[in-house]
Amino acid sequence: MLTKLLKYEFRATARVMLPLYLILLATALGANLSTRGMGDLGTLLVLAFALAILAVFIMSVVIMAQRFRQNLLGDEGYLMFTLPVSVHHHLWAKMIVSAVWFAASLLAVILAAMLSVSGQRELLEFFREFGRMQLSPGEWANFYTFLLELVVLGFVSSFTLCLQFYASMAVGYSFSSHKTLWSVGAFLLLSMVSSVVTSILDFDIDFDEVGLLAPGPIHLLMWVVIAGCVVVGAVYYCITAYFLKNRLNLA
Amino acid sequence: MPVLECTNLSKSYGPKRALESVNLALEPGRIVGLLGPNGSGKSTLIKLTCGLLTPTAGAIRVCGGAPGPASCAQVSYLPERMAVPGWMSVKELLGFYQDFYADFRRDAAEQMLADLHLEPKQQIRQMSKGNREKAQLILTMSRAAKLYLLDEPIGGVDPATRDYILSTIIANYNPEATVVISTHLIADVEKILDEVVFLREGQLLLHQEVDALREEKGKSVDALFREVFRC
Amino acid sequence: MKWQFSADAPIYTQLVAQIQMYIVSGALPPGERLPSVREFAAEAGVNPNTMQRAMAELEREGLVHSQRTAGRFVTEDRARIQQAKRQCAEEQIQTFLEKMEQLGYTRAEILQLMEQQGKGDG
Repeated sequence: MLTKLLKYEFRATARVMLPLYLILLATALGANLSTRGMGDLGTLLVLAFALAILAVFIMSVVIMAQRFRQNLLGDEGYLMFTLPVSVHHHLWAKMIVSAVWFAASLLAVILAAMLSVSGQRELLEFFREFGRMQLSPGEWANFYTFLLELVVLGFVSSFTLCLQFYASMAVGYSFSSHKTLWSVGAFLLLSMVSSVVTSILDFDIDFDEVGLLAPGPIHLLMWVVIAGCVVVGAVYYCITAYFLKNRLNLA
Repeated sequence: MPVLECTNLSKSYGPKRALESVNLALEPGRIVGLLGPNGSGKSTLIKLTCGLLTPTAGAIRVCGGAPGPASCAQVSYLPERMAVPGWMSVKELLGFYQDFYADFRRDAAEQMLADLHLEPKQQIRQMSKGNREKAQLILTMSRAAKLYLLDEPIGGVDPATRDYILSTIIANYNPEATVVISTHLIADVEKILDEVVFLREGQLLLHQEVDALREEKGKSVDALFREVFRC
Repeated sequence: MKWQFSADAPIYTQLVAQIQMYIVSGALPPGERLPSVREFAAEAGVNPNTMQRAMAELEREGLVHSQRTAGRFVTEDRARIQQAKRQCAEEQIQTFLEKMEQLGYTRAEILQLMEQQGKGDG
């Protein structure tokens, strides 16, 4: 059932995201052209590209929240919550699709950025510099491990971000009226509680003392952050699942 | 075994009581009219049955178990509002239903679409209000479910379509399945009902066979309804 | 076939009466195969269980009979149909007489009126 949910969720979201990526790439081409001296028009093209980048990131988040509100808590909820599908599958389908679009948006922006500066000498120089970096095999391993941790953190924090929105809306929409207002209130409350809790659990590593590229502390920090994210996400998940299962109150 | 069984079922929204201690059992093979004025608890009872609401007190069993994914596979629900995504075409929705419901009969759905002259390639949002309702009804009736919950299925359609809907319900009759029709247009559905359930202010007022009622009271259910719920 | 239901009586008794009428009038001739209960119910716009009940009643009265695999048929016993027809006629006359007596006619006057009406038609 999860794969079927994923199929329809991708279809529903791709209708918005794919055209947006096309616009992004088009403005990237425009920005690329503008570097070949076009005066005021060139400035406009660069501005359009910047706006497109912004739009892609904002829309990824907006679509994530909007799909949850419209497809599960709006009129479509009558269809979705009477499918022979568990609440957990609904949640994972929404989270996975959102996280994939976050990643796709990031890749699209990187691609667009490369497109916008392609053919520029400085860019080639940068990559050559990077290749000439003198690192020992251990340091390379360290670097790649860090990248891997960054990817894991990216996904975990994406899920947690989604779940904070989901939990707030699941709580807010359980009220009979002022659903949006309650959702915003719940969102602020969850943000406050989680920041208070993380500030209590916070610990500092003095990087001046241990050195930034020392293998131990940086990985430890990364995993502590990832674990923290997972714990916060799990709490949000439980709140969301509980409210969808027991406190659903479709308008 | 009853298809639907409520035991002291209550539901409150905050201080407002929508359903109060309802005891009701519906057997297989029955077409049941769920009747009552607006706000009498009809939709609440239906939503509890398909798991969109959780009881405040009491218990509800659908096809032998608590409402959940397993019972949803056997319950075909027609909400009183449009619940299908507007961006999908009728054809895509057939695929959607086929994917999620093992009991979906695609050929039956296609036949009904042809009967009611609906264009499968058209997007739901491009359809007229009446045609959207027809499309949603076709999807609901094309399943071979154990329990059909039709919330106001004939409210917004023209008389010809109303007749088509009612004859579809009869033609789909299955001795294993129960059809619950919630409506306030009693005169139109009365002839196709086995039994009626009257709800008033969240309480079960009456649950009886239509013909026994007509014999006993010497009047139609419609006339009785008007009498009981006189303003 | 047309189906009409009044509000004051159970639907199944009205179904029995109407199908009986179709049989005695010959609209459903002797030996005619009847539609399945579901089809018949859809045609009359009534609940299938109600139609089933009406069929059982008609079977009990000997106006229809079912064969295990082939379905349900109008009886070929013409005497039984005649008897039912007669019964219908008597019921109609009874109702008619009651109404005429309410209007204040005596039996003799009624017969006289009937005769005149018959001549007028001829």
